[in-house]
Amino acid sequence: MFSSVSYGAPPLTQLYTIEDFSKLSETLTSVVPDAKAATVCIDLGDGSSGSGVIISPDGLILSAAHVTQEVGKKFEVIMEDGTRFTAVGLGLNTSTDASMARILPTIKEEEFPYVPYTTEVQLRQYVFSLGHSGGFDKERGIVLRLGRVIDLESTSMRTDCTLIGGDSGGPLFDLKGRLIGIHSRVGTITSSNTHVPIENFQKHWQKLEEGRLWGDGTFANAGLLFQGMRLLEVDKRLEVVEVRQDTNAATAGFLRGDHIIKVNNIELNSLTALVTILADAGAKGVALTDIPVHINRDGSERTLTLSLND
Amino acid sequence: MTKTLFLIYFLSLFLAASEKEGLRSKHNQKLLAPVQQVLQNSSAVITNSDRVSLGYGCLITSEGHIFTKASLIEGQEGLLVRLGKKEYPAEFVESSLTWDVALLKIEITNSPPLQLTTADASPGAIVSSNGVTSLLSRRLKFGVIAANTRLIPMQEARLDLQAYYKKDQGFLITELKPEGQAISAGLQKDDLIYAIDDTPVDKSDLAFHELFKGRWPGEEVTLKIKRNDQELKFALKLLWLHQVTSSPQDRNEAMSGRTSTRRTGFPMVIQHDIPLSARTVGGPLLNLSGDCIGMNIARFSRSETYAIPAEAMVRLMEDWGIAE
Repeated sequence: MFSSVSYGAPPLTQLYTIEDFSKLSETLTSVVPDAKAATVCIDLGDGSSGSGVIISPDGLILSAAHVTQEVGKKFEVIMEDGTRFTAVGLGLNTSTDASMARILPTIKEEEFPYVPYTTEVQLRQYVFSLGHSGGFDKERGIVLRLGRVIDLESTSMRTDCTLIGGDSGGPLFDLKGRLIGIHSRVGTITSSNTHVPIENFQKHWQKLEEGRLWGDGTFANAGLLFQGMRLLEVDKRLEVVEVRQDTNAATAGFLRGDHIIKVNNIELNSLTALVTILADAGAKGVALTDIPVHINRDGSERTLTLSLND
Repeated sequence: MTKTLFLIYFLSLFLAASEKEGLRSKHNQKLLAPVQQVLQNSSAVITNSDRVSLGYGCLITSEGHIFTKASLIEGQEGLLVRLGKKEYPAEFVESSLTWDVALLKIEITNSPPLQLTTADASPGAIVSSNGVTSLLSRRLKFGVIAANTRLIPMQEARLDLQAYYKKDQGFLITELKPEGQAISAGLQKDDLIYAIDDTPVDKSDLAFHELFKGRWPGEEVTLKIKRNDQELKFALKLLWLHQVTSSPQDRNEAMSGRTSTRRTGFPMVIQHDIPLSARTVGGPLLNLSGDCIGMNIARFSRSETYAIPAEAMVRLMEDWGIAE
């Protein structure tokens, strides 16, 4: 029989009597407040917003790649009561839509409300979803929806918790209030709503925490666009995956498949390193005009000169 | 012909698969049979004389008084009401613009009306409504109270022109609806709106239509205009959004499919997650005891449905002298 409050009990997958609905209601009423406290609105500052959920007292957030968009992107997170904190995007998997972010340290050391998470999920299990549907609205509060797991795979799961824009990146919970997934996308019928399972976050946890970006670009631009070429991090090497016509990169002679070894005589192995080099030059007021770029093309090394003009 | 049949078959297979294991499975609907019985007796289906369903209604007295969503039956004549398994001609009695509720009357006696209750409607409570309906039976759909009960400001007041914000100057008119109110009043493209009524709009981070949030269609506004070196004044009436455009207003609306034409401007709503359509609102929202905690008033979006609370229904009944 259904007993949802006792921890360690199997997840609720079936109701047997009308009283079970009342118990389901009571369970929701008791677990939803803590789940809401950890659910945040991600305000991207350009009029668009998504959701996320805090999973550690120091402010680590799980969200969706199409919400946090870029490694190092700064945005504001809004707590249930309207308090705002600045956060920064960490890693993103552009194939599955998983992403991580972190609230930046504040002067007064904050302890954030957070939720536990689990990879235990069952088909037909009763679940609930939270999110800032259509953006932050303090009067309305965070929106709750009830549903069941309809479909389960390692990189995605489907429920009939009806989602809408603004919910993306928000949390899906089991009835113990444990995070089991992150909202990603919807189908045309209301019972088709897709989430990224926690298993998919756990598998790539280190990459997400280190701020890596990978995947096929389904949910966020894969890689970094730099002077007309798109760079992707592949096995700690920067690979040119696209060179656009009539750009500085094309003029310099870059080709698809080139691997970049050094930029401005500094060795690098990540997109973050490249961003740092450019930012440092900018901070020192060094005008980068003709930058030497060492590349590896089909096993042989050569140097191309990238002329930067505005 | 073959193609049509195939499409229907495909669709029914797909729905069967998702409903079997989903929240709103047949199994779960059966468990709620006592609540379904209340819908069967007291959730009305309102149709026009051609028996095209316009929306649902709530039987609120044993003398045949029915509440429905006023904007759903606007301009319709020869209204019919199906209650239980029978059909009755209905007479329009009153309506409230504020709540978007119309009162209808049918000739019926001793029919069990809804039991209105002001019981708790806090997030997490299970609620049921009439999802779809056939000639003979109402099909229950359930969900949960999804958000705080609150006021929804009117957001459907519009002018039939488009304008965008020009920094430190105001709103520049870029387009006027042909033969519309604004163009007939003499407004022109490239006119700069620097104040609305007596409020300057040169500093704003809102879209033009957001300037009218909280105001009602029908209200008069005065636009103060700069045209070349002239300063002009134009008095216009705010229009309904649906009079100005029929296209979706934002991405969420585009995703939602058809939402209710009137979906904002309610003094108080209960929000729940039962996915209703624009034509399946107007009926009762029931708790697990089968008591009526509200009346569905709008499909706001794919995931947000609004109901006005039973308390408001009681107040309307008192105002209209039909409280029992």
